[in-house]
Parts: sequence; structure tokens; C-alpha cells
Amino acid sequence: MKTIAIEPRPIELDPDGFARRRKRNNVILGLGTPLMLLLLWEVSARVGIVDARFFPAPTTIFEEAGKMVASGLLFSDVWATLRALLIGYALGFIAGVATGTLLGLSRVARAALEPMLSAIYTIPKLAILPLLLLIFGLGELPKILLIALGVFFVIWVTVLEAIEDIQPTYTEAAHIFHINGIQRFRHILLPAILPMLFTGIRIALGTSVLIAVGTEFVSGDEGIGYRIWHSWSLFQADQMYVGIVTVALLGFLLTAVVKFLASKLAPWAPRETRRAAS
Amino acid sequence: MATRQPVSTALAAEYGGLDAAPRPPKISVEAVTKLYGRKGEVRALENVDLEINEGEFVCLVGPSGCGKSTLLRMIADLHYPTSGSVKIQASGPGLTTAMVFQNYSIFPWKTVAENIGLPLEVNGTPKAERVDRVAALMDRMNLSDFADALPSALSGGMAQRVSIARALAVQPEILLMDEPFAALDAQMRRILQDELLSIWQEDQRTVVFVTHSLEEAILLGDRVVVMSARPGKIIGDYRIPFERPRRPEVRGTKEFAELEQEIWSQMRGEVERANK
Ligand SMILES: Nc1ncnc2c1ncn2[C@@H]1O[C@H](COP(=O)(O)OP(=O)(O)O)[C@@H](O)[C@H]1O
Ligand SMILES: [Mg+2]
Repeated sequence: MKTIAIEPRPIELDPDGFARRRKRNNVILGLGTPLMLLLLWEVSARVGIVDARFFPAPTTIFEEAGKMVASGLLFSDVWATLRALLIGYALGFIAGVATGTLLGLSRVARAALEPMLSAIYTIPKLAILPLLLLIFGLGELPKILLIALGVFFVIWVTVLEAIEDIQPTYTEAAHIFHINGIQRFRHILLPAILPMLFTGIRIALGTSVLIAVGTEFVSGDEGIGYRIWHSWSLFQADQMYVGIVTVALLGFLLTAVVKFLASKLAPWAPRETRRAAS
Repeated sequence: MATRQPVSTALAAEYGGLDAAPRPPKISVEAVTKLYGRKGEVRALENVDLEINEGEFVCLVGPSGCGKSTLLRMIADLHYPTSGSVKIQASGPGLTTAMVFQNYSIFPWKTVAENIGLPLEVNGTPKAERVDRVAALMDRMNLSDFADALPSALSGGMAQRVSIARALAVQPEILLMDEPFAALDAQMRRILQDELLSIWQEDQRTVVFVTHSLEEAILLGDRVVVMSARPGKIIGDYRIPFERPRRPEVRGTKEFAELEQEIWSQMRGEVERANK
């Protein structure tokens, strides 16, 4: 005979303190881990454990970033990339929502378009870049169109799937209470698909940054992608790292905006969707 | 006529009065208080004492939100008290507790037989023995025709049978059930209640059964423990006098109705208070 005792654990005895300590520890770990790694890198680069030509010390990179900010180069690069991202994303998003909704609601449209769109879906968008360059020439337009295309494909698939997943009871209730047309879209359809839509928005964000940078690698003469590629050909590792970190930060900030919007606009989203959108 | 005696006297009688060696209860809930939230703003349970003996079928009833699930989950080692303790006397090396949840919690990616056999598979039961035990349980629960079906193909009643069979497969010392039949339609609920009565009769295992149905509690239990509205306290402990093996027909007797009326008159105020 063995007695099992189920008793308060530390977390039950002081839940508030426990939550505070956990939060504090998370901050320490979240900031401390990258700081430690940076420190390790710094030391390795200085001592010569790693080749400083390929892995310049973080402080060197930081200095380079300072110079690039001072000269205005970094800002103009970021703006070039961000501008194309925002315009391209907006275009692709609007087209994606419209197409997804159309396919979700109209059997005819779906029969006519879905097989074709699905077939094109798997083509890597960058593969179309040469064609766009051929048609539109060099400049910003091909970049914007390619971003729009990448976003469009993620969004229409998400919207279509979200519409298919809507619980029949919601649409049935809408039917019973004569909620139709645009009212139905506003009060039922849109809120119902919003949580999943935010997941799609987040995925499309990653796609769009990838396409923007990839496009800038091979065409144009500005943007963060251009800067990274250009630094390689000039053998300027410092600048390259500044470019890489800047893209990472850009993606991080845009994601944070989406996360914030999701928490404000779809507070009813199940937690896993919110996490996926975060 | 339903004769009710205080539980303590009943226990003394059961153990042959003061002469018998004192045996600790199977489950002993001692001064348990449970607060939820960082600042303890939700008072779920307050100073709950409860003793449950080996082989007893105890039903917990009370208004919704009064902490029944919380108490059950503490016995299952899923939640922990804010103060006080729950002590369980484990006699064997096997699983002490197993739980049946309201929403089945059987795995949709495993067949009926695989769901029932999973706990045995992970605890290293030899395959031959496992197959035998699973087959016997499926036979017992009328599931044999569905051995290879996935849960999505099952009705609610069938799914809950799988859930019960899975819990019984590990032969736990204590079976915990949290409103297991609440999601079923009335006929299916009756059928499963009747089945549970006869299953219990076979091995007379300790059961703690949470329900909001007084009728269900009286039909199944040796004791019905009544909890107050939140913060949950124990406000009544009724010994159910109907003989074992208990026949489902006891539902229709006058004594049953009177007992239900008696307990309900005590519970009613609490249910009203809970909904204010
Ligand atoms: N994990 C939790 N966090 C915060 N509050 C909880 C949690 N679990 C339960 N509660 C609250 O505790 C009270 C008791 O819940 P529960 O034990 O589920 O009641 P019952 O099963 O009797 O309906 C309820 O008010 C419920 O909202
Ligand atoms: Mg409950």
C-alpha cells in the first residue's frame, strides 16, 4: 500500500509570483541566448577562430550599419523594398480575397477556374520573373507584379478553404434570419474566415519578402536584396550582413503588425490559429 | 422507504466497529481549496473534505461551475490544490486512476481496437494478452463489429463505449468519470447507465462519477455527494439504500422518486444561486 499525495506545487502556492518569475525568465532567456551567441561570435572573430572576412565581428557589422544609415543608403534600400512589398502585397491580397470568395461561393467559377489555378499554384513564382522582365522591361513593375502573384496564390487558397470550413450552422442561421448578400458577407462570411485568413496573411508575408529579395538579386539597382547581392560581388561581407539583418528585422516587424491586427480584429480566433498568425 | 443514515455510522458498521484495524480511505480529500487565476480571483473549491472507500461508487452532483471537474481532476493528478491535499492509497503497481471524459477524448487517428489497446501497448503488455483483453472488452461493450472502424464512423454512444473500454483496459484501481453521458441522447444514456451498473457489479472498483443528473447519480451510486454553488463546498452526503446488484428498474420505484425529491429540494437553491 502506497500513499499518493496530491498537494499544492510551488505554482499553486504563489501563482502570481510564479507567473512573474516565468515571464522574467523568458525575457532573460529570450534576450540572453542571442546575446551570448553574439558575444561568442564577436570573440571568435577577434581571436581568429573564424575567418573575419566571411564572419566579421558583430561590432564591425554594427559600425557598417551606422555608416550606411548616415549615408542614407540603408534607408533608401529599405524604402525601395518596402514600397514594392506594400504595393504588391495589397494588389495580391485584394485579388486573392476576391478570387477566393468567388470560388468559394460560385460553383461555376470554381469549376471553371480552380483546376487551372491549382495547376499553376506549384510553379515557383520566381520562375516567371524572366517572362515579366521580357514583357515589362527592367524597373519596379515586374517586382511588384511578382510579389502580388505570390501573395495572390496563398490568399485565394486560404480564403477558399476557410469558406469551405465554415460551420453549416452559421450559414443556416444566416438563411433563417434572412441575412443575405453583402450583409451576409459582412456579418457572417468575413468574421468566419478571418482567423484562417490571418494565418494566410502571415504565410503570404514570408512569401512576399522572399520574392522581393529574390527579384532584387537579379534585377534593379536598389533594395535590400540588391544590396546583399551587390556586396557579395564586391566582396563586402559587412554590408551583406547588414542587409541580411535588415531583411530579418523587416520581416519581424511586419509579422508583429499582423499579429497585433489579428488580436484586435479576430479576438475570437482559436488559440492555435492566433499562434499560427503570430 | 429510503432509510438514510449518516455516512460515518455506516462506515463504522462496514468495518466492524472500533475493533477492526483502521483502514485509510481509498481517496481522502483533506481541506482542499482551489483558486484559479494569477491572483486567485476564481474561487472554485473551498475547504472540501471527502473520504471515499475502496469499492465505493460515489457520485458528485452540483450546479454547473461548482468545481466538480476540478475536484475530479485533482484526484486524477491533472490539477493541484491551492491548499490542502488529496491522498490516494495505491495498492498495486499498475495505474491507480483512469479517467473517462465527457467528450470521449479517443484518438481519431486510431481504430476502435487500437484506441482500447493503446494504454496496454505502451505499458508493455505482451501482444497476445493485449489482443485477448481488447477482444474481451470489445465483446463486453458491444463493440466487436467496429474493431477496425475509425472513431469518425461511430455514434456518440459508441465513442463513449470505446472511451470506457479504454479506461477499463488498464484495470485502474479508481475509475474517474466526468459527465461521461452528458452529450448522449436520453435513450443512449439509459442504455449506457444500465451497462455501467452491470460492469461495476463484476469487479466493484472504486468509481468517482461526476454528473449533473440527480437521477443518474441515485441510480448508479452508493453515495451521492452534493456540492454547493461556487465556491464549491460539500453540503450533502447521501447513502443510497438500493441493493446491489442494482436493477435499472429501481428508477421507477416510489422510494427512488422520494429520494430524488429530497436531494433536489436541497440542491435547488444552489442551482438557482449558481445562475444568478
Ligand atoms: N483552468 C482554469 N482556469 C480558470 N478558471 C477555471 C479553470 N478551470 C475551471 N475554472 C473555473 O472554476 C470553476 C469550477 O469549474 P469546474 O470544476 O469545471 O466546474 P464543474 O465541473 O462543476 O462545472 C468554474 O467557475 C470555472 O470557470
Ligand atoms: Mg465539469
